[in-house]
Amino acid sequence: METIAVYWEENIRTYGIQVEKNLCLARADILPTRLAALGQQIADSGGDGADFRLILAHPYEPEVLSITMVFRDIFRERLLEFGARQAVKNLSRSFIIDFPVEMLYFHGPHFGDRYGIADMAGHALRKNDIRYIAMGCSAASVHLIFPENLADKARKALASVFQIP
Amino acid sequence: MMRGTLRADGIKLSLEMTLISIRTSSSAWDPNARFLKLMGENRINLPFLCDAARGTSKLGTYCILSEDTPKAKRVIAADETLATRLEYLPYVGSITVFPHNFNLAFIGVILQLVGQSGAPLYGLATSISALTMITDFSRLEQAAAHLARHVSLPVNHSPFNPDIRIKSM
Repeated sequence: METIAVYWEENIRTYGIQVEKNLCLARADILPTRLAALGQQIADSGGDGADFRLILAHPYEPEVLSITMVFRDIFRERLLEFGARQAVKNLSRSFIIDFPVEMLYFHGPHFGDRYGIADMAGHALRKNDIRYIAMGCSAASVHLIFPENLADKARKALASVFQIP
Repeated sequence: MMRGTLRADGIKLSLEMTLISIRTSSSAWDPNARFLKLMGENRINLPFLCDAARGTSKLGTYCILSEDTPKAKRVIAADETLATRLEYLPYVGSITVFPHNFNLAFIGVILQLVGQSGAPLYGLATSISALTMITDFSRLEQAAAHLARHVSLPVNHSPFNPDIRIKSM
């Protein structure tokens, strides 16, 4: 059975555009074959209420899986300690920490099933000459990471093309 | 060794997709922007996107449904400058586990399980509540079964495979 529903918006509706500042970005480059070992190190570090804000990964080079993790500033010391562990050094080609960064995220109805959302966001940012460090879209969420002092500017740019309640 | 029982409300598998990668080294022209524009103009959805810059270089990783791939290839082929920048990897799919509750230990254990399953990881992104991973479509069921053996799911959880499709026209 097929059901067809029509849904139209003049401006793409969001459930709000959120900004978080004073975040810490960690990027680990690992051999894909070491994923389980890195997972174990992360799992062992993840207790005590350690929470992330965003995680993205893709093979930056054919044999290098690049994992980007974003945390609140309060975890910066723990990240430094994590990167300094011999076990992490043994399985990472590089481990870098970037602070401070800012994150902007938003989601909306069926974003994961609709075309043109990322293009509209990217276009609005380019038009305002705002460059981002990373962008991730999955399920109904769009996440963008910016260098310091750009997220508010980006929110303003996106507010001109997306509807914010 | 994994600690405790990992709990999740569900695991979802995607339809078959094609992975598209765009690598950019120092360049004023961003092929990723052109690619996004073409996909939007031609009503092709990107269920997954991971785009990260390093200095002046950049890698964009995108997924489109396999059924949209012939159309996407036609559109891209018409733009010669863009067409030479793209790499295609067909027959991929996604596994989505939810909710992650922003729990780092949860992510660590899932990465550990995926690594152990031997399924290649072509992409990963968290949303506001879910963790989505891209791997070979042929290995989705196997990887999901491996996760399900170690993750405690509700007794009445919904099937892993999609039962409802939403397509933007």
